[in-house]
Amino acid sequence: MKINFHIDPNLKDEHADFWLRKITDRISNVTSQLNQEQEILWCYHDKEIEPVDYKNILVLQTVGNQIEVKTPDNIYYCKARITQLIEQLPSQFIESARGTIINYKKIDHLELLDNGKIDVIMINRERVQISRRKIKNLKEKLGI
Amino acid sequence: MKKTIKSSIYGMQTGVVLGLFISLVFNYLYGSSHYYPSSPQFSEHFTNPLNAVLVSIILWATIGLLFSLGAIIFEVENWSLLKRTIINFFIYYLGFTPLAILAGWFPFNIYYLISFTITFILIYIIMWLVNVAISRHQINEINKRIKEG
Repeated sequence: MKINFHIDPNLKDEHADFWLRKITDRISNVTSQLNQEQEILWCYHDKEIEPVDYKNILVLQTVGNQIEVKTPDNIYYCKARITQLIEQLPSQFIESARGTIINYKKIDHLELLDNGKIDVIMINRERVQISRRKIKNLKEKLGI
Repeated sequence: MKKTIKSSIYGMQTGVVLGLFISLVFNYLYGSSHYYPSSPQFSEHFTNPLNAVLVSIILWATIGLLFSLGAIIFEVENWSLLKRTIINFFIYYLGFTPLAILAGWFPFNIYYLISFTITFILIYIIMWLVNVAISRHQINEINKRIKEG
């Protein structure tokens, strides 16, 4: 791959353009690393690639070998591993159960169910599981 | 797996510490000047009194292990709370009773067995309710904090 750098200290907005035949996992990984400062996750939506702001993401869940990324209005898909995302995403994202990451700032409330399990209800009314061990983690993040 | 090992070690440690503490309390209460890890009759089974202490420690660790591992039952996803509780109860009861008898905590006869069982059931119910209360309190705390923003 030919790579060109255009360096200009006076540049107002930094950006990168990729000219590719198709998106591969390797490219997804590289863009994720570049995104760490930009707070955007690149995802698929109807076969198109779109940037999704971290601050809009409510829940990420493993579905098959992809990650389902939910925002209040939309569902996107991301080709990454959940373990990768846990490392990459900022601190407001916590693992709530196996294969599930939630943005704890977008939690509406928690509910103790009759069967002893605990549900997290997100601000879009979606229910997500949380295991008891992760409750401790959540308490720490909330500063309790 | 790592969680299980951590739980196991924690359980054994707690069992030994509690066993030591409780046995000391009973020794003082009975005005003893020598240390008996359990009842005097228990120590009489051993030629060397040190063996009584060693065996007691092993039994305390085993009891601790039983209670810590048994709690893992509650993490099984597919079972209802009722099923988990019942299985957990029987694991504890069927495991703890022979260990307590072996450790010489009460004589092996029907009268003591019945009163032990009743006490065990009562304490189990109390602990179960305490756990529910703790969960509820934690969730309320979290919800309050979330509301405050």
